[in-house]
Amino acid sequence: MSNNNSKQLSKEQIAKKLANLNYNFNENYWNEFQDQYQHVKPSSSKQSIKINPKLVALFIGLTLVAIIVYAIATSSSKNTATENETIPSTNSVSDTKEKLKEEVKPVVIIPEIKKDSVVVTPKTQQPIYQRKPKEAIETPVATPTPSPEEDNVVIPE
Amino acid sequence: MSEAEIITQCLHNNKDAQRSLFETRFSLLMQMGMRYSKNKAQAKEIVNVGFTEILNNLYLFQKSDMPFEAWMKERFIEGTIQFLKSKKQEYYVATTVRVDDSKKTDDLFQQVESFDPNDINETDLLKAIQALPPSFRAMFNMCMVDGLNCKRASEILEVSEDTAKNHLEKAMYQLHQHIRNIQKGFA
Repeated sequence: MSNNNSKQLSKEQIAKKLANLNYNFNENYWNEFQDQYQHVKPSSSKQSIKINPKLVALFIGLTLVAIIVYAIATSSSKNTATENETIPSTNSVSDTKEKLKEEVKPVVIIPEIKKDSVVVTPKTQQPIYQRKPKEAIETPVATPTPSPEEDNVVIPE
Repeated sequence: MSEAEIITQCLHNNKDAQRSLFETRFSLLMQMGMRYSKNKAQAKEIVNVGFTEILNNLYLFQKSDMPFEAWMKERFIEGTIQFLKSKKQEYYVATTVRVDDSKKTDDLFQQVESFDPNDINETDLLKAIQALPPSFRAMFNMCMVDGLNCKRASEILEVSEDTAKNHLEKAMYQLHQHIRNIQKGFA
């Protein structure tokens, strides 16, 4: 922020230039001031009330302590009250459990399937290839050869 | 009536004395108001607020060792800052100084094109000051024109001294940019 740079405005230059600005007093300004600030009272009679931050902190602290004490007191009173209450017998608890079991039935939600939404895709018919056993292929089927004896067989007419 | 008599009469809620004090100090108060405000309408408001602050705290002047004008200026500034801060939406605006990374240097003023300070007239200078963000404007006025040191200015603005210095540097940078723009005819 030094003034060694010639392209910067110095403090003196700024003050000198701004001092040239003059504003003449006008009665309207005074009237405006009076209209807006009629509540201005003589300062000698004014008793300024200054809020001491320490007092504020003390007040807040005390309030917090009071709240905490109250909370503790109420909670302890509740505890004593619950202790005094009669504890229900175990039988009654089991009874109620059974009743609840009876009353509450499991609900099974079955999603509704719309007929339109179901798309049935037809199964493609593919040829079933069965491999033939090896023996069946290689071994030729034996054709009965006529034996010479058979040739002599006379077929009766 | 002498100055001491006027002050005494003002303490007794004498309207004529108050008017006399207002009239004699009007030019100075308006000059300050124009510097701390964004326009003439706000300057009038600031003058009224500042003068009220002076009248309300006149009893404190009797206890201080300062000359009346210096004391009055300080009270006026405090009243003005309170007024500006009350306009929260206007005061707490995002004030970001954009500098290209490629040109980033330690000295912000190396970014400003050179110009001759003698070429600037007082109206343009005032216009450039009024274009600053409120917090920068207040800091600039207190330190560069009204002669307050950075520590006192930071106390009035309720910021740390480092923040105050930072505000002042950015204010000076922006002021020079505004002046360049005004001279070029951009504003």
